[in-house]
Amino acid sequence: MTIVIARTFIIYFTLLAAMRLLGKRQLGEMELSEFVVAALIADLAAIPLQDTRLPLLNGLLPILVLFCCEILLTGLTLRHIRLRALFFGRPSLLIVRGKIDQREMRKNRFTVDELLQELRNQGSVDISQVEYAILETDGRLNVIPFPAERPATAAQLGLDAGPGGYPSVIVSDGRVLEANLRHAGRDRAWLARQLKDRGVEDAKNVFLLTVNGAGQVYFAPKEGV
Amino acid sequence: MKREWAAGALLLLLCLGAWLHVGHIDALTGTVSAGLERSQQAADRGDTEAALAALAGARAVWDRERTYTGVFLGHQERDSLCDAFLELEAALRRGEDPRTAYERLRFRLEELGRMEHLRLGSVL
Repeated sequence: MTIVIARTFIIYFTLLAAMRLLGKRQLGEMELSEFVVAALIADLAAIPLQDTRLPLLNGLLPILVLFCCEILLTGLTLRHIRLRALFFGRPSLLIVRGKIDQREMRKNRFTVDELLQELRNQGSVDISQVEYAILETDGRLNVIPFPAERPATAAQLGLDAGPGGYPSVIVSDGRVLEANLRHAGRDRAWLARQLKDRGVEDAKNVFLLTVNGAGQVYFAPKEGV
Repeated sequence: MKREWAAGALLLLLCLGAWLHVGHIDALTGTVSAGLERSQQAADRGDTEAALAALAGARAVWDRERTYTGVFLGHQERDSLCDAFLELEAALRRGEDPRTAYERLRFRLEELGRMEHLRLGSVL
C-alpha cells in the first residue's frame, strides 16, 4: 500500500517533468497535468481488471492518489502564478509582428512545416499577415492576424447588428424546460401564445422551441405526430 | 477551495491508512513468526506433535486475516506463503528434516513484511 502510493507520486511527478521538457506540442489540447493523469489512469484501471491475482486496491489506490494530486496541483497553480509557470510553462510567441521567432521555435521543437500546417489549419497562408502566433500551454496554436487582415466587424463598418443573445431551449422533444423558461424571463402564458400562433395546441407536439435574448423564436414541430 | 481541502484530506487519509497497514502487517507477521519459532523449537526437541500444534496455531492466526490479506496483499505472495505452510506441515508429518521448510516459510513471511515497508529498494 505504501509502496503503491510512493510509486504513484514518483511516476506522476516524473511524467509531469518529462512532458514539460518534451514541450507543448505533445499535449494536444490538454493541460500538462490532465494529459499525465489521462495517460496513467486508463492503464491503472485496466491492469487489476485483467489480472485477478492483483488486489483491486492496487488499481484503485493510484487512481485516488492521482486524483488528489491533480486537484491539489491545479488548485495551487490557480493561486500561484510562478508555480503555474513552473508546472505548465508559459505561452510561447512563435510569430511576433509577422516575424518568426526561431529561438522559440527551437525551444518548443516546432518545425517550419508544422508551423505552416498549423497556420493553414487556421486559415492563414501568409506569415506576413500574421501579427502573433501563440503556442498555448495546452499545445494549441492561436493565430492573430494584423488588424488590416482581420475580418471587419459590424461595429467597424458602422452597421447595426441588432441584439443577439444566447438562445434558450424552452421545449425539447415535447418537454417544457421550466428552468430555461424562467431564465429567459418568460412564462407559461407566453409559451401558450407562441404555440397558438404556430397552430400547435400542446408542447408535446413541439420538437424544438428556442428563444434568444432579442426575443426571436425558433420553432420546429414534431414530425409524424 | 473546498475540493482542494477534500483532496488534501483524502491524501492524508490514504497515507495514514498505508502507515496503519504497515503496522498491522508487521504485527501479523510477528505473531505468525513467534508461532513458527515455537514450532521449530518443538521440532528441534523431536516433539513433532507440539511442533504441528504450534504450526497450526500460527496458520490459524494467518487464516483469520484471509480477507484483509486478500484485499491488501498481492495474491501471489499470499498463495506462496500458504504453500510454504503446507510444505512445512507435510515435512513434519513425514518425519523429514523440516529446517529448509522452516527457513522457506520464515523467508516468505519476512519478505511479505519487507514488501510493505517504504524502502528505496521496494519503491524503485
